Amino acid sequence: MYLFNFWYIAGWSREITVKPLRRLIMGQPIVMFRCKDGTIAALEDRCSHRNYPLSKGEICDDVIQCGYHGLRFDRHGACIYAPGQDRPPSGGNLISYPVEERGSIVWMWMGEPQRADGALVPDLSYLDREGWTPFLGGYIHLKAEHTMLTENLLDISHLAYVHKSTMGSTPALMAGCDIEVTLEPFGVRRMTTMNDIPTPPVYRQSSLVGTQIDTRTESTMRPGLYENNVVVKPAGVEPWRTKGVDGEYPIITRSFHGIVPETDRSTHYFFGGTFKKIDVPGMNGDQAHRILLEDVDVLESIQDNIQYVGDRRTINLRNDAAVMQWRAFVKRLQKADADPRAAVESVG
Amino acid sequence: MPTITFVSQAGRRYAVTADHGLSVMEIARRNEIPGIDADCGGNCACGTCHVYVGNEWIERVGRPGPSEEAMLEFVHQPADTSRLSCQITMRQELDGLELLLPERQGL
Repeated sequence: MYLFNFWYIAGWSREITVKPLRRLIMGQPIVMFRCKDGTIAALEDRCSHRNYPLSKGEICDDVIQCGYHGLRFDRHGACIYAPGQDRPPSGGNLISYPVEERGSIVWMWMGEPQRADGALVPDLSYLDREGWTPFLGGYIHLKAEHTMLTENLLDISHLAYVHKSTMGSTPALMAGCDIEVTLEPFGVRRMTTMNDIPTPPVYRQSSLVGTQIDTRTESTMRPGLYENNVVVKPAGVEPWRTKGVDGEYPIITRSFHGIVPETDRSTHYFFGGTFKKIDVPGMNGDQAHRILLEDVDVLESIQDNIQYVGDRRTINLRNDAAVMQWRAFVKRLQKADADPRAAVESVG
Repeated sequence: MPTITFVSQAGRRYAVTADHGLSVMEIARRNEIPGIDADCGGNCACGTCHVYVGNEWIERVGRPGPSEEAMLEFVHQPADTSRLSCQITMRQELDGLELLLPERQGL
């Protein structure tokens, strides 16, 4: 099950060059390449003659030529040349996907092209803020279905177990934290507050906090994108001054996770983020990658287990409110024919 | 003593003492009413404490909020007067409340 009518991360800018790049998204093979004016073309990755992947062909002057029989297609997918024929075959045009490039991220619209509105591209401009330390370019090929990753990100009570050597703290304090989940027009928002918990290993080397911390995380999930805004302060020194995460704190981290279905059993996992005032060496994209691999191991094991236990009943616990609200959101979205505007009306 | 009566699909009646301030789910669990699972312990996160409120009671009990409404989309055989019992707080005006238990809990 895919939610097509949204912008999804299709790649990092640096990946798209004048050489063709093949990527499978939502079960659709897509070839991307950069044109002479710097913009990106994205077409279905097949020749309309015998389905040979165009990505195995060559590009010359913004035209991609099939490596099998030499048919040529322009950047919009129009078949413009077939060797030995006077006119190009009129029925041979290919699907072209709308693309928007923002910062170092390439977004692609997988749904009906006439609904592709650049104004709906998620705003990740906070990655470019001055004085912050960004980490970008993260990618993991996850051999598990995308909803598993979505639900893993919405679930905080696994932190104390799966990430015990990195982000974890006392399990009961983490699982028993204050949690507020709201259904939003765009998806789900979750606010968690943990007060006076033993400092998780990732922050132990920081001089900005002590051995006990207060931490608050505001997270949002929308189709294809999860975002986290984490603030940390020494435990008990000052009370929380706002209801949310606004304001100045010793440690502030923002991150985003692109959840892009590849097939019904695999997912492109793009990630990045930015730190403000972090004084821990090695706290960067590589570390984020290592932490996420801990989730990958869990999710791929579940994916493998599904074939045997997929029809068994599963239960939902205290911290699954965000997951359940998300499932309700998706259900309503499907009813509204995956139209984000219709969903706003039905939710609002 | 304020009371609540839970009625099973087979018509069996369980009348129990209901302390004010407790959730109806909590009252059911303390009295071991069969058919109220409450897997999440009362956080509007599992949809397994579903009850049907009689038409004569629904205005006093009140309608579900947005999160509960979302959860009710997942329960077995939802109806117009479906509620999650963890979201109903026992109080004076609900003394004598009767609730019908669903055929089963679960998503």
